Amino acid sequence: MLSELSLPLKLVFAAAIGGFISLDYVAVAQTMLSVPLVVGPIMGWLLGSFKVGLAVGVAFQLLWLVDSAFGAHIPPDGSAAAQISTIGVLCALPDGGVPEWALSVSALVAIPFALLSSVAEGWVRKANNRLQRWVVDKLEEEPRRVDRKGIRPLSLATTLGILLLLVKAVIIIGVGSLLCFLAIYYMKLWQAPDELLRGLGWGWRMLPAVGVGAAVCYFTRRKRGVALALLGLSAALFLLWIV
Amino acid sequence: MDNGTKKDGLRPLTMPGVFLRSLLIQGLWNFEGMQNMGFLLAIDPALRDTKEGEELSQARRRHSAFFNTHPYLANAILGASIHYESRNLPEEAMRVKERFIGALGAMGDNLFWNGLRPAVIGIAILFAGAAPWIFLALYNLLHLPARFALLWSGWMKGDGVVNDMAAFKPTKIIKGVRYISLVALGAVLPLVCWEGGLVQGLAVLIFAGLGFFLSKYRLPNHLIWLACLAVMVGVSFGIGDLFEI
Repeated sequence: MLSELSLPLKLVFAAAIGGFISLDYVAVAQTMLSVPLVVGPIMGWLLGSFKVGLAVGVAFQLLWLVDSAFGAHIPPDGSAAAQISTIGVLCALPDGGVPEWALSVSALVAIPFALLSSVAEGWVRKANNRLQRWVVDKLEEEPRRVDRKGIRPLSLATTLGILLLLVKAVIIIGVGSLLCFLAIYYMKLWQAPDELLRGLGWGWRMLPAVGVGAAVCYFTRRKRGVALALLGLSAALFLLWIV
Repeated sequence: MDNGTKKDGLRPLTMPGVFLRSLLIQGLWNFEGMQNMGFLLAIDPALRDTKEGEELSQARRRHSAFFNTHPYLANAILGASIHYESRNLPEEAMRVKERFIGALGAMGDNLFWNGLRPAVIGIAILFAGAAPWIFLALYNLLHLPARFALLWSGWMKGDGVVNDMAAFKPTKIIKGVRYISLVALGAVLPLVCWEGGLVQGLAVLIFAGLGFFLSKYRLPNHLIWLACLAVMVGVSFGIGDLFEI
């Protein structure tokens, strides 16, 4: 596994693997391999702690549960955020026992990168404008050359478009993870006040709560929606009480 | 068949090939034509099977026009376009595209992105450590066969594929999965955020409520969380170990 590698290699390989998985987000197949719930645990498993990856993945999944890529709308890249957070935390604290303040710090670094990733996605789509114009021009200009074995310019343009996305994802995940690692590492060295660490830890627990609240709001058309959510809540509390 | 048409039908492996290519329908997503290049990439093997020469070039130019719908439901339009193109009815193929992209786009977003996906995620999270695999298995078992079936049905029936889709009563499914999502989200809240203690439980409920009310004003979730984090740090400095209560 990657956990046995040196730190730079760990970061490079994790970013490369994460970049490939990120292609599933929009460009390739959309089998949901790239959603935080899945990619977080995969990264965690690769870096030695499935459990930490799962905690991070679930939190980011719930934070942006109903913020999806509709048409031209590009939401914050939860996939990149989950990967950056998991990689950063597990590189800074490789021997397990990840405290909640570290997860909170990792989220503070990962969220701006999730937003940056969605901006960069827009840049790639603008670059794709040029690629598609080039393909259309080729179809207009040289119909005979592109006739027989498929449309070479189209295959080339699609490959280039996907490569651009890959490069974007690898850079964002790589740089984000490095900064996340540095933030947690220096926070550890600094020996921050207990109150700050405790507050950050509490904040981490509230990350999914905010997302769940927002998602319930999205699904609620009438009061019945809130009643259903409360029904689920009561059932879970009852089960927890029994256990 | 009319002039320019090479064969009556497609080769046996063409449709599986079209299906695999349809997985790349957003491979060259761009602001001008949106999924146009992905659509052309997917339909091209079928066009090559049924047309040649100038007819093929014209068909390719036709299908490089603007196209944007839900990437899963696009297969219904793709199949229907192949149905009409292979019968040398290009106007019908273009009519199907223009007529259905908007409706299928809206339906797909509600059915998959903000319907099945959150519902399956909510259910999967209840299974703790197995959540990623349960989610992947359940979700892919639903959407991959649906994508193939839509392509096939479109190819066989043309715009009749829409009747096949309507038979599944998608609006009822959307309503049902929304209800499932709500119950699952309610159940997920204590399992993920709460570790015991009255004050912590109350804090979880308060911040979930904040998420609920503030998202009505289109405030981004991450900003709401940052505000919560600042409050938590402030409380920790001001009051002390609140969650021990």
